[in-house]
Amino acid sequence: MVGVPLTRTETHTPSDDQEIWVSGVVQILGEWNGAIRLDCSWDLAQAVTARMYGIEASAVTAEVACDTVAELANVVAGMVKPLLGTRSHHSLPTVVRGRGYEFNVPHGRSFEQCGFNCDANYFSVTILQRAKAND
Amino acid sequence: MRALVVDDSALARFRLRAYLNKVGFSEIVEATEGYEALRCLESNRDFDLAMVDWIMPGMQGLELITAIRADHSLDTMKILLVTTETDPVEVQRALTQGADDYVAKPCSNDDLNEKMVSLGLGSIIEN
Repeated sequence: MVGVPLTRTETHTPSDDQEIWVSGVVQILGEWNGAIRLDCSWDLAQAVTARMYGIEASAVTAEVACDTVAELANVVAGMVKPLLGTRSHHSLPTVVRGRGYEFNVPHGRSFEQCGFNCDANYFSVTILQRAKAND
Repeated sequence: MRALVVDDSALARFRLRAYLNKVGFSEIVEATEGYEALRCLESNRDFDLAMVDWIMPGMQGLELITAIRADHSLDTMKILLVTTETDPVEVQRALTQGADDYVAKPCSNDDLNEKMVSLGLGSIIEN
C-alpha cells in the first residue's frame, strides 16, 4: 500500500520525549476485546503521507498525516482481526499526536508487539488485549 | 461514466479517485459518510458505480447500501464495498443487503480492475 520495504526489528520505546509521535488506534469489540495500535514518529507519518499523495513532506499538514495514520491503523486492524480467530467488530480509528504520552485501553495489556524499520524510521504495531472482568 | 466514492478517510478517497481517473471515469463525486452520499444521490442519480466503505461515522456502509437498494431508480448503479472487514459472515451480509461485490483494503489497481470486470464495467479498463 505504501510501497516502502519494511524490515522487522526489536521493539523499543521512544527515548526522546521531545520527539513528536503519532498513534493510530482501532478498538476490537466482540468475542475478543482490545485494540490494535500503530505508533510512528511524526517524521515517518509525514514522509509516508507525502509519498502516498505524491507531494513534498513539508506540504503535509497534521490533519492529513493523522488521517493517513488512521487509515493505516484501520487497514492493519482489518488484517490482524481474522488472526485473532474470533467474531469481533472494529471501531472507527482514533489518532493521538504529541510528545511523551502513553496510550492504552482500560484494563489493556500488551498481547503482542512488533517493531519495524521503514525508510530508516521506526514504527510498531501493538495488540492490546482487554482483560476480562474477573482477570 | 460516473462514480460516487464514499469513505471517511481522505487518503482512501484520494487513492480511489486516482484509480477511477486513471481508468477513465469522467466524473467522480466524493462523500465522507452515508447521509452525505444520499444527498449526492438526491441531486444526481446518474452514477454507474458507488464505492462504499463499511465503517464510517454518521451512516455506515451497510445502512447506505440498504437505503440505495430500497430506491429502485438506482438499480442500475453497481455498488462495490471497499472495506477492511473480511469476516465472511459480515461480507455475505453486505452482499445480501445489495452490494454487488467487495474488495478488501488495502487494494491494488489490479484488484480494482478485477472488480470492474466482475461488476460488468470491464469495458472502461479495456479502452
